[in-house]
Amino acid sequence: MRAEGRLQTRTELGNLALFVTLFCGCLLLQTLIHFPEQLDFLARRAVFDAQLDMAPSYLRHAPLLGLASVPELGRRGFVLAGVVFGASLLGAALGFRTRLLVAIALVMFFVYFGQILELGYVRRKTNLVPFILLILVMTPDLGRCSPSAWLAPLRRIRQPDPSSTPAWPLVLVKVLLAGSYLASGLWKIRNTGWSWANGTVLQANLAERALASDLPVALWLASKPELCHLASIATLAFELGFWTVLLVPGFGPLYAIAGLTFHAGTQVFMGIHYLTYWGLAYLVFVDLALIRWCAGKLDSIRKGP
Amino acid sequence: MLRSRLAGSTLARIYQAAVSAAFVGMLAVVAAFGIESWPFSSYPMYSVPMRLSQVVVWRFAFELDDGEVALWKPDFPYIARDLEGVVERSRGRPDGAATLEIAARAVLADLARERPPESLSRIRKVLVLRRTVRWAGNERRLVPENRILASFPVEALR
Repeated sequence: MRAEGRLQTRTELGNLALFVTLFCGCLLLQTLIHFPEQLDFLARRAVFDAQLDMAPSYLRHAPLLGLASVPELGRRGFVLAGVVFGASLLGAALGFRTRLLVAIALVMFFVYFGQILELGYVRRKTNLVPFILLILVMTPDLGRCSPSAWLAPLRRIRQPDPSSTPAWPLVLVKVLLAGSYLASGLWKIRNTGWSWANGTVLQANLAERALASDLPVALWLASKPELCHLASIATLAFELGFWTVLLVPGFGPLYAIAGLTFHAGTQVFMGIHYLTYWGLAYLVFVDLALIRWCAGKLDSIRKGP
Repeated sequence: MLRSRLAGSTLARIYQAAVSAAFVGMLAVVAAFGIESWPFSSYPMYSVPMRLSQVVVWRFAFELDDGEVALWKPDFPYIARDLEGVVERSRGRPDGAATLEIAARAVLADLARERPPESLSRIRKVLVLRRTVRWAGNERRLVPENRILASFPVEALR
């Protein structure tokens, strides 16, 4: 692996195909894992709302793009939406009519997740998914993407695959990630100023999460002002600096480790679940060069000095 | 042939530039104007100034037959999050207590879905708690502090 100091323009076709397979496959897996719970949530919400007359709450039937409301589905409609969404992802992951199925998955994303936006791990945490699906739909070589496009070069030789494709779709996924973090960091500076880094805001938020979600570990961290100070500096540095990954794509895996550690930290200490859906965007950092590099390291360890 | 390849390449570059500019522009506009319209967000969470003294959380709890107080831990925290709005709406209004009572009844109904009836029989009262934090142990650790805002006997809710 090497760090390149410029934006990528071309990449191996296998890298694009690998991302399509991993992203669609893992999104399908997450949907399957969480489907029973999400179905239960619909039933529970109905009971609660009927008693409390809470609907419409501030999130119910959030208007898509601020314009049109996603129609409310019953239990059967929700199941059907989930089946169509899952089947499209499965077909796309397997390379069958990829563009058409990714486009269907994009539409079904709004139908399916539009019903369950109140769930903590869905609200905002799924926001990257439709944009990534949209980027894939607009990708010129999507029709050539299938598991064989990345499996063949890996099986054949441990050398780069000569067939290349424009790298911009994968770069745009990284731009989405970087832009979201940058916006979050800039809002902290805008609303609180650089004093956000002194740790008091994070400390108060940790205490609030501890009281609301019964997180003793959050209260423990809130009791340590020095650690809150350090965590705040690290958070700002991460959010305001993540965009530099676009300039050094070779260091992508290191940024990915930093990002996933950041989200694992917020999950443990604040009960904020970004890994489930948002974490899927990090699959863009898994590429054939990384797999070859890991395979080479494993080989050298196996053969010994 | 060369001309058509060149045209194809130029078109491809224009397409790439247009799509990239559209996405980058979208991110910039959403961030600059703080747009919060699903699926757009500028992710402003946890950015506003806040101090420990300002931390207040509303929770439902149950007083059990042995006097123990157990917090209600819903599987879906959105319900608890909406409670804040319910409490805020109920304060200072003539029908405020009735609003809280309806909420307490909804909590019992939700609990009945996930717990066996015998565990519900131990509940004597549904409480609405105002939770804050305070320093304890020579200011070395934070501890929760609970104050009862309202209390509803279970018999009255059934």
